[in-house]
Amino acid sequence: MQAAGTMPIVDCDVHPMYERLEDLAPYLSASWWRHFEDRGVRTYARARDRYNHPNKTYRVDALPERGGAAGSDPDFTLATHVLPFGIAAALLLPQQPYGVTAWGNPDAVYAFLAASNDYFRDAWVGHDDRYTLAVTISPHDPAAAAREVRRHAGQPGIVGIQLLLMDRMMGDASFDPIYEAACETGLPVAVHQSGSEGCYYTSQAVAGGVPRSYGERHVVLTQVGGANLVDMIVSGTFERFPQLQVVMVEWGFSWLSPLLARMDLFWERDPGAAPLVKRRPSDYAREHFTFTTQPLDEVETRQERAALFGPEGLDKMLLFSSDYPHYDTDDPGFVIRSRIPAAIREAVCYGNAVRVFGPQVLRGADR
Amino acid sequence: MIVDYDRHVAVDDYARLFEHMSQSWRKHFERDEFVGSVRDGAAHIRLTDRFGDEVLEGSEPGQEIGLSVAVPHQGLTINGWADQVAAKAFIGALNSHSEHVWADGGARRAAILVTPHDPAWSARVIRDYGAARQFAAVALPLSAVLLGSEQFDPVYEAAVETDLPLIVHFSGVEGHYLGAPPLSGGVHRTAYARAVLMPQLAESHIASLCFGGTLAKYPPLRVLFSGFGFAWLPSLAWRLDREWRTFRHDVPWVRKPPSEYVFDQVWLSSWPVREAAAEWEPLLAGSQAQARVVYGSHAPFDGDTVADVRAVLGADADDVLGRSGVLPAVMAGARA
Repeated sequence: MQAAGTMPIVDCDVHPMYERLEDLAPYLSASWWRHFEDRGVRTYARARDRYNHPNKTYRVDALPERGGAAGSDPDFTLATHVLPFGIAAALLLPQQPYGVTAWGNPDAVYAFLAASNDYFRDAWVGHDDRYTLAVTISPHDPAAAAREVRRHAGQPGIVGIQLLLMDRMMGDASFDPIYEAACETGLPVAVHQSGSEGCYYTSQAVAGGVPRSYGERHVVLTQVGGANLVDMIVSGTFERFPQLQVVMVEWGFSWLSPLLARMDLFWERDPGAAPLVKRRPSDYAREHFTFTTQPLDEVETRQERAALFGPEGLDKMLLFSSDYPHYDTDDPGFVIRSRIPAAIREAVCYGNAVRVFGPQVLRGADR
Repeated sequence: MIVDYDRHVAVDDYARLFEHMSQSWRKHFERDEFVGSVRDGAAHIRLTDRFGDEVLEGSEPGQEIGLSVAVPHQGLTINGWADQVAAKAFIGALNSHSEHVWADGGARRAAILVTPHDPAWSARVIRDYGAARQFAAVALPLSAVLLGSEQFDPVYEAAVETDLPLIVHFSGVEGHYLGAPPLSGGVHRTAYARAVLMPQLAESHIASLCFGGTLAKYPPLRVLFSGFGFAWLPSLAWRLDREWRTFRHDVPWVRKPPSEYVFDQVWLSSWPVREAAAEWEPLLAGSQAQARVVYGSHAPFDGDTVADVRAVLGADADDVLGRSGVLPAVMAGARA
């Protein structure tokens, strides 16, 4: 076994940004460029007048020396995050497109998403082969989403799909064209919270009501990930798409084991209540889902740590992630060395990522 | 003494409640569709799409039970009603029925039904019944407002004043009926999915009680989340404390890690005990969360007998069956 520091690390949650809207202009038609230039582009999803972060959502030390937003300089991200921690591959999940979850015009959404995908492919993935990209799509227009996936599939460094969530849950049949494209191209579907959760009629929410503050909402935001996992299994998605892989990014994972136990228990008691579920529900979860590690629960005792990583099959379901450059970044050095148990470190740092994203995720590992 | 904190009771005919209503409310409720909906309450709480089963009154979960706290679950379903004024007349009649029929003031006691839609009225009801030996708890149905909201303070003040624990149990219409609390994500199309995700409702309310400052403001307040399972609590406790460490300056009224409030003032009932499988679920084993679980049979529905708890939990079963924190005065004989 390689020691931490020498094994390749795949960081499955790194957020790049474009610096100025003008960066996308070369990838937009003249009319769409005029539209966005005139009207502006909403690039954040969370309603900031409803849930305002008490401090800043990004790390101040991630602000590039040349100016611009945290995460907007590929060289600065390399120099301050990728190189110091020996990261062999960073999965880029662009966050500016999260704003489209609050947009109402599907044509504008897809003009913007296509330009954004092209920009990050050229300016980041084309800039350094340690960068890999998940192509961003939204549920506004599943047919357009499938076309966008096929347009990028097979290009160097394109290793996944970033599916944004709106009100419909992932088991809804309207997603089938997207899953068809994912299976056809062999790309996993990554789902990251957009910030819109619990903000709009067009977004999914946490259970019970409206949490009062940013922190309280953050405690229970994990529920949306759990709800979509349940919805996909209950809706028979994996019976229709046996090859489909889903990567749950930043939804936590310590809730998974009790949820799966409950799914199995109720299903065994009354299988007729879930007629599209043909096998033990937890089997679908273990075969089709992976979860990124950040934000890692801050367990305090050796026993708690053993319990956190102990559930059956979890060793094959975890992918290391940092969430750079956000305020709650997990320090790769500390988390990998001091939190991830040695027995599963290789699997979590790169083995599971290679299985899910394919060997191309490590295309930059030989340098 | 074994206490069953999750015992359900229901009337098999809504007409039985009419004698507990004013003449005008009786006239209001004497309508075929309302009287004919008597079975819906049981179907909701069993989280099933199969309507029409009989209203279950029988089936005792075990001979050894020294005290059972009955929740008249038909009253919980007012959280799916459109008419919240009529709802008060309905749960008022159920409380009267509890006092005179279901509860005997000895081994069979009931929870006082209140409504989240009128906290001032609810506080009066709690004080009216609080000293009566027929009642041992307050059952608060869930609205779409999280329990950490200050609007519920009158309910908490009355519960503390009367030394009654709060029992929170789903009615079954959550995530289903418009106006009732949502479940997480979007619309879940099956009762199975709703049942699987129902614990998240308790998670959100516990987070709200912590971050809203309710548990800090009312240290004697005791809250039992019943019917939601329990295996999820360690994960929630970790998340509560992590977010508090990050954002504690935003919630200065939360003076210590939220899990410390939870492990002092919040309990969970044991059904379905098989969540713990043959041994305690790994995350739960030996944790402080494990010590918050009290016995609830969920009878007369598909639930757990005392024997089931013993079969699943083995040597730990006696702790769950005999835990006294929810009703310390009653268990100590200090409260009649």
